[in-house]
Amino acid sequence: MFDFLRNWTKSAEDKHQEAITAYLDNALSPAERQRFEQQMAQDPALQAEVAQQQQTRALLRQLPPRQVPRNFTLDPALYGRPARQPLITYYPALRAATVLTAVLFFFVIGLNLFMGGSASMAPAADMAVSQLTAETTSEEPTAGMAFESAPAAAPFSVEEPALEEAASDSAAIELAATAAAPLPAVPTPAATQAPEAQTAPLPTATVSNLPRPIATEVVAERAATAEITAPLPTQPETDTAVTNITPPIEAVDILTQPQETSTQTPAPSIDLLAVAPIGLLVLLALLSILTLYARRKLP
Amino acid sequence: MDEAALIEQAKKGDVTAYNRLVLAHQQVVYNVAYRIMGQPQAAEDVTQETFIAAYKALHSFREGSLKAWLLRIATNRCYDELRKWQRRPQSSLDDLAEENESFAFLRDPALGPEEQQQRVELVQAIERCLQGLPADQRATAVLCDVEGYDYEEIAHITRVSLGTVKSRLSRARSKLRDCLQGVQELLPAAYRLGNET
Repeated sequence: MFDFLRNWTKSAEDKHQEAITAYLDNALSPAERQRFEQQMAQDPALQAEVAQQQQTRALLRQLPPRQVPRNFTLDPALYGRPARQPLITYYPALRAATVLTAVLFFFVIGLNLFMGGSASMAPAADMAVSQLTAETTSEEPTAGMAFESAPAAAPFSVEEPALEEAASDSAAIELAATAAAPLPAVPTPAATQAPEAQTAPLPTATVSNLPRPIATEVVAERAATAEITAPLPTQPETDTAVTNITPPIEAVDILTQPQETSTQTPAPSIDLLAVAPIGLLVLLALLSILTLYARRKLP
Repeated sequence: MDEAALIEQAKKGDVTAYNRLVLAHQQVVYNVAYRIMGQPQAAEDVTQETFIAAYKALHSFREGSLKAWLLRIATNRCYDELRKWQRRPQSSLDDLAEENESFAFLRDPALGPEEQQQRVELVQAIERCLQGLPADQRATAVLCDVEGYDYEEIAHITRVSLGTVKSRLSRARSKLRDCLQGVQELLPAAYRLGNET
């Protein structure tokens, strides 16, 4: 398997000696043999070396075979039926399984690193959406549903209370939504937030690794600041300042609710990619032990 | 009865069938063991262990050459035994090799006493040179140059790649050549190695 590596590291002298050996044993290809013979015809030193090796080989062949001192037959009284030895029988399969598991293990490790690396490049808006989608879908179905319709409702034509609730539920969602959804026809300060949300990515890996309440806090903080700078798109611009002020308070209230509930019952999020290497490592260790044991049992 | 049928019967517990296989292969197994171990008693032990181990593991023998499988077991046993010797050095191999008794098989009534003596010395010189090789190179040289196996069979028996076989054999022959040059006077005139390199 690693012959190419051995060939690569071999010295010129080793290669020279191997060529002589292979020539004497007829192990060269016709082309190699012809090349070797041409070289030999021009090089008397090589001829001498070949002759010496040939003599050495002939001397070894001179060794007479030894007669066996006795018969090595087994006593039928002592040896019964040979028992099946599954570990020996399945040794090739065990070895193959060990190699496969090792390959899979390193593949998953590589995949984990790759996914981790690419995830950290995701924009903050995507993070906020994914984080809050998980919360809303698991804890507040109506808000979740409203959020799902939020991108479509981003233009100001919608005045349904559910949408208002959704909008006030998390301004961060809106922030995220503005990144994905069409911008409002009427220019609002939220529009100025959009580039920020797009260009300033959150350290995703950090956020995703944070405990849920802390992540929610970060999002809530962002949502609160966004509310202050960006009035809700569902509110007409001609509305009084009261309407502009009240929703952020509601938003904060509502946003803090999931935060509390999430501290009580953290959502179970089992990352398969994080668990798989551990499982594979355990399997690899077991298979390696079995393979080594079977190898020792080999006759 | 052919070998495959005997193997099947032996797998079913027919020791007599197995013994027929033993009789067919004991010569080659013993010779390889002897050349690797360099000692008749050790070779005898290895050969016996080989046939016992092979019988016990007969179910794991699927297909291919039984002889190659037996030689694989024998060479592995030899390596194990040599490793044990390295850990606990026993009596000198040279002393044992010089036992006249172990070369009794070389005595040929057709040859005169002087010729017989020369023959014994030649064989001793070659065996001593063989014993000077590392175990893996020795096994390869024995299988190729003494027993006449080809590279692929040796690779199968010793469980190494073809490249490793070539490399081991080449090194073994170079060392043997150097060793035999040191005992030129013992070699027959036809086999005296030239000094030019």
